[in-house]
Amino acid sequence: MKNPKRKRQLIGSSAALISLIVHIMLLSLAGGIVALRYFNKTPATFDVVEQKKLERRQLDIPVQVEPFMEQMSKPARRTTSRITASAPQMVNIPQQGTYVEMAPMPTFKNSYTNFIQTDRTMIMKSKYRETGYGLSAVDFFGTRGKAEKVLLIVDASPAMVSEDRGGLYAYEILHEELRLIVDNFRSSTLFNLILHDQDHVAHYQPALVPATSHHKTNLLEWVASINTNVAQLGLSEEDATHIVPTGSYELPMDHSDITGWLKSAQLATAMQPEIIFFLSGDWGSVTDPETDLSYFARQKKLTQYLDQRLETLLNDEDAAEEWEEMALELEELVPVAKKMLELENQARSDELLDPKIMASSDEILWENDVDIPDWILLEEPDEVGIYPADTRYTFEEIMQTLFIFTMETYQEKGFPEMNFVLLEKGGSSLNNSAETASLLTSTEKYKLLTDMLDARFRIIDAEDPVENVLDQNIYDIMDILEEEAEEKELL
Amino acid sequence: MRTLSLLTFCIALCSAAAEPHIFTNKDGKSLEDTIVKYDLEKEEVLLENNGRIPLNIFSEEDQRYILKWNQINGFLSTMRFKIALDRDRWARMKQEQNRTPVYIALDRRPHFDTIIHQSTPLEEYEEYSTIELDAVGFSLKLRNQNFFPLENITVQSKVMYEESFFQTSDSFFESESDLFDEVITEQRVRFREESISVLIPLEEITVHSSTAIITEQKLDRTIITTSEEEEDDGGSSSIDGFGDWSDHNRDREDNFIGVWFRIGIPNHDGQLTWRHISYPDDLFEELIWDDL
Repeated sequence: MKNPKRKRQLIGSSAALISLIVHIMLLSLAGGIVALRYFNKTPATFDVVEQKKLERRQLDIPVQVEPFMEQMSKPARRTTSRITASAPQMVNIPQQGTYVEMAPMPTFKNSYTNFIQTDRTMIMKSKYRETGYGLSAVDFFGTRGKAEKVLLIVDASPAMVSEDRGGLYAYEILHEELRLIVDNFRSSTLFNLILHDQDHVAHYQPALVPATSHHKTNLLEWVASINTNVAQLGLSEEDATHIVPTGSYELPMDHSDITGWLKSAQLATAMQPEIIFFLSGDWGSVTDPETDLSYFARQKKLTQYLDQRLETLLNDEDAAEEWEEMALELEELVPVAKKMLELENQARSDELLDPKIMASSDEILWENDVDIPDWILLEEPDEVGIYPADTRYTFEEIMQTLFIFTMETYQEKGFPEMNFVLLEKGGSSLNNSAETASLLTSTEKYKLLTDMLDARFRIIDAEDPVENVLDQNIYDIMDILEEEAEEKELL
Repeated sequence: MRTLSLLTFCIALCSAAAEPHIFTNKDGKSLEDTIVKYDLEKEEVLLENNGRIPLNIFSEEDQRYILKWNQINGFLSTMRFKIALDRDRWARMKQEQNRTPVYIALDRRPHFDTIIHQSTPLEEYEEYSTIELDAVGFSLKLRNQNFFPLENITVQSKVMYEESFFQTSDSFFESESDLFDEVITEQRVRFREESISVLIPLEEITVHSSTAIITEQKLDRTIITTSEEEEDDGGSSSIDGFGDWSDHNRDREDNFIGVWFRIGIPNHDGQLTWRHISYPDDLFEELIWDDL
């Protein structure tokens, strides 16, 4: 071994040399490839596409173009030698129910997303409300309200033209008032009128109609024909409608016992007005002309009670005797009442007055101070088997009936506005505190009803009562009747 | 129990939706498979065994079936078709007052046929009377969050409540037979149905139930003294046979049970597929619709 250190140095330097040569060769190769690629690539060329020249589009309507500054300095000439008026724009009056078809408006109510809120059943809050379209201000005998769908319910029973309310003249004035009310309706307001006379209910149209001049005239003509003739008062069978809707909800009242304003209200709910105005004479189906007591009777029970009461009376010997005496006295008074009425009507005819309108057949007797025998009270009222309270509906039952049939129809739309006007009787004894507190009279019942409905109640004063022309004496009448009987016998 | 029945309900729904169907293409070739998903944008159907197939390959009848399946799927999704129930009071009437009790006798006057009355108010006394009428109703909000419309939706509802009424009339004399405060109760079910022809994407509409009329009535005559006391005091306006005044009190109150809405959409056979919602929440799980 000559020198191992020297040998190791030679091996190291030759390895480094080889590595260097290999690196140089690899670099030259890579450089060559890149250079070859670069020099072989064709240079990029840009295709220049010739842009088409945009032509100015011909305007459909030729306009005169003026330089801007010129426009500014020269005010437009607006004067003309002719007097002109701009033509009114055609207004589309919506038909009934059109708003239901209107497209829903997008809202962002309660949500970040654009959900469309639609209440398809919404009728009462129609979109026209915002513009006041079709909204009419109604002044119904002093009771005011604003609505698009108005229904008037007017009592047409003979009681409205009773002598203590001023007779036929009362309805003449009422008709004039109605004319004013109806005339004030906007043509786009929907309206209707229902008349009632106990069991009979009649409507002008089966549904609400726009208050056009045609409908206004027809309605007023229809009303003008009612209660103008003493021989034919109230509504006739022909006038009455036999279709009164009945719902599926159970009512506290029998269908046949729903009469007068309550029956009208039932018919009205089917038309779905927003506001209802009632003008009535009395509350219920039975009104006592002497005491002003008024209630809705359970007709079947009432007839049954009266029959059974009489039967109970006649079963008691003493009471039966007393009753027969009373019945005999009353029988004698029947021709007296007829004669009194005949003479009174004769006297009225001579003075060119309307014949007498009687609320009850015995009215003329007590008006002429004829002693009418007292009725016989039962000593044991429970012996009848039916109690007097069973013959009538309570105030609460009437309320419930009204509430049920109204809400069955109106549902989510809520209770409509109802306002009541009562035609007062001249000389009524309404200051009787006991009757007021017991809720017996029409006035008290309507007052309480309107309180419950948060509605308005108004009493309109009656005209001066019609006084009898003759002041008759029962003995004179009996003498006349005797003379007439004798004359008949002689003939 | 509730979770179990809900689970059963979901399984029933899923199994109804996952029924295998024989599909036919336009060339008349058929295959049996179950739809897993329908892609509305790509118009592709994902079948359990056969994978993705474009809609236009299927026969027209099957295309209708697939689209209907997709509608029902969207309808049954609680996320994409949302329903929410709200209780409301649509109207209310309330009245309370102290009144003078009155007895009214009546008779028919012979030969004149007029009814005559005699009222005897107990002027010294008062009775307390109150009545409250509530119209309770429910609104159901339907919101379509699918990207396609839902068609021919039927909404049915049943409102249930117990109505009570007095067995006898408000008569002073009846109290002796102890029936004055007796109340009869009857269950009322009010049905309502509404149809929605189409519910477009992102549309929300509100439908309503029928109304339940809930009444509360009370009569209190305890403040009236008895006729015996009256006699002791030297009073003379009493009417015999009134019985004990404490027997004259009466009250009744209706009871609201609940409401059940069911919302249906027709499948390819025209049969309605239902979704249910009720107040209280578990009412529809406890009752049977047709039995109501």
